[in-house]
Amino acid sequence: MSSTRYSRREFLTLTSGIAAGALVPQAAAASPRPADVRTKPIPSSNEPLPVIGMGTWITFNVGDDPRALEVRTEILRRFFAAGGGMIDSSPMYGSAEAVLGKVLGRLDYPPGLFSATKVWTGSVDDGPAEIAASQRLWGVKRMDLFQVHNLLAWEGHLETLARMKAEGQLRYVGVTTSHGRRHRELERIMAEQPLDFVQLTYNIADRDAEARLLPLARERGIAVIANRPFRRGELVQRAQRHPLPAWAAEIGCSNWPQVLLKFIVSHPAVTCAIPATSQVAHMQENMGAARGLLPDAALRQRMAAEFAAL
Amino acid sequence: MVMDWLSYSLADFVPFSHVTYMRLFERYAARFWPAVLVGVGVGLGALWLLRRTARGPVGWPWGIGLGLLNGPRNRLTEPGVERGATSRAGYGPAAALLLVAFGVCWVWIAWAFHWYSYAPLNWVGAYFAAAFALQGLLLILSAVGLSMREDERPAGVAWDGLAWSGYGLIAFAVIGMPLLGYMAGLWLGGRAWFGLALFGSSPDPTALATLGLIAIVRPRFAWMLVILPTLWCLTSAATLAVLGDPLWAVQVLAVLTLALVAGARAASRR
Repeated sequence: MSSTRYSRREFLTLTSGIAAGALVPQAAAASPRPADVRTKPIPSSNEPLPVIGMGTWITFNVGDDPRALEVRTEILRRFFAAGGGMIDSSPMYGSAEAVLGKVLGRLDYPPGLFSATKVWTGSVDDGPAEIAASQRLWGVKRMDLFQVHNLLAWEGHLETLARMKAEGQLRYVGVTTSHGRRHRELERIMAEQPLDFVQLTYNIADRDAEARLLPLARERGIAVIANRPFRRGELVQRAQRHPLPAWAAEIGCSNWPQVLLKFIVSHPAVTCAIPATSQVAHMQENMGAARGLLPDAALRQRMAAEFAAL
Repeated sequence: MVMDWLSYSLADFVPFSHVTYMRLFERYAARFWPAVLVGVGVGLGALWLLRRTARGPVGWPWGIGLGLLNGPRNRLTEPGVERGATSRAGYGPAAALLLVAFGVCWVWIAWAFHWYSYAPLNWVGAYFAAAFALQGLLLILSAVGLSMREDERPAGVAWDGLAWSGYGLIAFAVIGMPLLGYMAGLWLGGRAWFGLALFGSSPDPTALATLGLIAIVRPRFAWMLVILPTLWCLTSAATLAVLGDPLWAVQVLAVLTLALVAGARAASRR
């Protein structure tokens, strides 16, 4: 745990640099993103990425249900209006990629979109066809990020993705895990493979990654996507039985989801968190965490301790 | 590879919300309306046809209760029909017809529900479709086998406790489950009446009723015909449990009840 603690000076230096990164003219010119949205740089390219993205597990798997499609369209409209960037999906998520393609088409593919999906097949030979299918469903010519889902057949898929990246068919390559699974193997892959991104479970209650994976990500220059920020709503439900602490206002949080998200993205190694929601109001709450101050190291410790006592 | 798959939990195989699952049934019914009513007709017809074959001294619904209490004792034997023959209760054209009708329902659900409606939400749906098609085929083949065994057909149908339990299960699947779904909708919300799971078009009541039919008809290789319906009932119950739907317990209880009666009957015959 000692390796994950940062001095206040180190922390403030890092986060102020991040805030400055959000205001670089190049990023502002490329996207209509609100200027006060906090971003962090992708280490391998220095490209700024909004710290709050969006997951699609369960929430966007609604098939061709017109009623649900209307709601998802509004969710994405608010997401991009609030400066959101990364949307993460997977072929494992049923119709989620097809739904994203439909909804993004309705919104004319907002320029702030950072498209992220996964390859999820046990057959390395089937990988290219699945990758092509994902791109077709999303309706984009080139995905920003492809990740090997849950380390499934990762050796072969990483070779495929590295080749595609070299040919300019995608921009970034990564691997994912969740629920704290297979961290030792993930650590080995992070240490040995040339990755742009790693996705893992990290939140105020699941902090195993702080011990080795997050420091390793910083050392190796790998961007970190934190999934399950609310443990599928469980952490929010647990927190909302209690009043918001006074320190929440000091970091610009008006609700518990924002507190939980700011805890995650304030870790120096974490690039963005990807909460999923099927409600417009929740999306707006989540995006509030992309603005204002982040907690420093001391407050982070206090947040974790107080949450554990809830 | 094995370790990869072992790292998944049950919730990983349910990639949709309860709202989306309920909407699936609503949209399925709307898409195939009024075809879904045909299945209800088949179910009601089955109850009527099976009732006509029952010649035991105790009529329903009392027989169902007696079946649960005294199933193993085979008390509903018709005079003149040997005790051993009662295990073949339900033979005849009616039984063959019902096996075919149920088999067609399984094939319909394989295509219309699992392949066409469910699989877009969950990749496992393709495998469910294959399993349901196979079950439909097995039911139809068992009917063919039944109709070829004229020499073994008893003079009448004598119902024992297991048969009455099976009849109760069919009645519950055809009539009770939609009513329960409707009441759950009133109580819990989130269910539209036209999205209720109906026999013949929805997998849950069809699987339960099929177990009931096998308990009555008992064709050869009956054990083969109960595997997939039982597995489906457990799979569906697990899905509902993951989604936080309290109705998950209904199917488990129904299957367990039938299994207990069948087990007690088997034990008494040793």
